[in-house]
Amino acid sequence: MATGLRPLEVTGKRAARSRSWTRVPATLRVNAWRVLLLAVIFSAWEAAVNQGSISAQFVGKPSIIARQWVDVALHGTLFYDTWVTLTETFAGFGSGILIGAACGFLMWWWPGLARVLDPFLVMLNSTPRIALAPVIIIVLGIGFNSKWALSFANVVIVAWLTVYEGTKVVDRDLVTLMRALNASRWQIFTKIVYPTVLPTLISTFKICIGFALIGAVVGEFISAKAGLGHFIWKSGSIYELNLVWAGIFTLMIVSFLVYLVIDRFERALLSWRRS
Amino acid sequence: MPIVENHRAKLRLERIGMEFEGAGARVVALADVTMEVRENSFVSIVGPSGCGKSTLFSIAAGIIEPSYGEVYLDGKRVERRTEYVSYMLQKDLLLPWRMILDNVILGLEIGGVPKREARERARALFGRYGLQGFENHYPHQLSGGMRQRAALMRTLLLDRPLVLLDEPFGALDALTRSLMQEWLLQIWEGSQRTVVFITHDIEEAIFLSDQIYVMSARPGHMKARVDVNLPRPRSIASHTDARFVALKDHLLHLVREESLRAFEQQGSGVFAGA
Ligand SMILES: Nc1ncnc2c1ncn2[C@@H]1O[C@H](COP(=O)(O)OP(=O)(O)OP(=O)(O)O)[C@@H](O)[C@H]1O
Ligand SMILES: [Mg+2]
Repeated sequence: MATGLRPLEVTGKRAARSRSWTRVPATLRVNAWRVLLLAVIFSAWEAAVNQGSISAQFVGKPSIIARQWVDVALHGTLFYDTWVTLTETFAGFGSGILIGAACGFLMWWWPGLARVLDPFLVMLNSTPRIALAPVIIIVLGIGFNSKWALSFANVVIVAWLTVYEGTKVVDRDLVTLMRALNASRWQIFTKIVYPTVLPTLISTFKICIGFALIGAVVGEFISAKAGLGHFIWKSGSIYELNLVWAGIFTLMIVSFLVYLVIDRFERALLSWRRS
Repeated sequence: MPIVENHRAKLRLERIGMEFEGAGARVVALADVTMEVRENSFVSIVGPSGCGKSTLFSIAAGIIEPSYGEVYLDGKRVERRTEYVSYMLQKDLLLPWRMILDNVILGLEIGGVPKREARERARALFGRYGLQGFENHYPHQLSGGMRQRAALMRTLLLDRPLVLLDEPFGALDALTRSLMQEWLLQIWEGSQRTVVFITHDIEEAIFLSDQIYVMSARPGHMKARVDVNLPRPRSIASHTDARFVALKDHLLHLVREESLRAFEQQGSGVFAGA
């Protein structure tokens, strides 16, 4: 509501001292620094290879990486691999969140169920789900399903535990209020428990999408016909270090973009929280 | 107690007792609480902190079951929640994710009134509650007094004959508080409702009530009942009425005694724990 209010203009000495650089918008300035940082790293790398202190064969060389990257993007399978990894990731993420959340809420609904399942959940949570990979791949094959399942396994426990823990910290007084208003258990769920837990769940989306990606890529590493993990592993197995880098950079960009999308999504959903 | 009076009692609590069992310790919150609230009257309960006032409300509203004793509404014994009482808890308890308009209709919504109709009914009242223009704000955007009014609106929108208010103005500054008291009296005088009101503020109790019950330190029971014979409608001027001052003096003595006892209880509790 406090529109129109702006910090006072910098006046006097400080204004006189401010150089033209500081008048550039802050985000632009930060981005300029970022580009500069990348340029320094890659130039140093390039120079080190040219000068001979790093071997292009075993470490790779930025200019060759760039050329080959464009090449696999235009003529190779890079886009297809990216697409495969993305679908596996989002399938695992979406189904993991949904099923995990449903299980978490069910444990609120039936406290008896929670008591029975509690130790199993703790065990599952402390076991790296990646350990399941061999079993999953043998059972579900080397295609899409096994990557989805690994990705799902990574996400589902997190969502499940988050939601269950979330239901435990629901404000007791709000529940009392609902009971004073004659609410049924279902109404308490839809009007109090669900909206309380939802932001907590949504705030784990960023972690979960990362887990989903790990599940998919690790699955592809172990055995697959396509996907970024497969691309990287395949290039590595034939000592094409420049292609490995191209794959890694693609993966980094993809995970960053996915993160941004989820972050936007999260912000939009949680907008009421901003004050 | 004459039987005739029972029929006119909106709410009657008969020898209510409540014991809590927790972490090995047994807390006797209420012991033999008996009280009566006449139809359309305004009754306050004052008493030291922790003496069981909120517990008593939860029992009267049917949210928790007493260890023993009976609750009568309109002369009929009740044992579970009814569509009869609306209860405002000690905190405003607005749902942070709902706009004020949707917060105040919560009770109606639960009662099965379609959202649209409930909103319409509520909208018409925003002016009277001093919340005009804040329909689409979230609770955190409101001041303490406004939140409290919103919570009151949610409570009173239910249109139930018996209203229980647990320290509704406890968190407000003195000035806002006295404005809210006058405002509450206006709302109450224009409606046919019976109000039971918990407060720590003796002047507030006198200013608002027809009768005041003073509760003892834990285990809580009714120590005294004081009639307030001040004419209505009341205003700021009532505070300087000689009867007001005399009542205040009397009540202060009663409450102070119990507060001291409650304080000593807590003190000895601290020493016993050390
Ligand atoms: N659910 C519960 N479990 C155990 N003890 C409880 C419970 N609810 C209340 N008590 C105890 O009962 C006593 C009375 O509590 P209550 O909240 O009714 O007091 P109060 O008079 O409303 O106090 P205040 O004026 O501070 O609001 C306290 O000692 C409290 O610790
Ligand atoms: Mg209380």
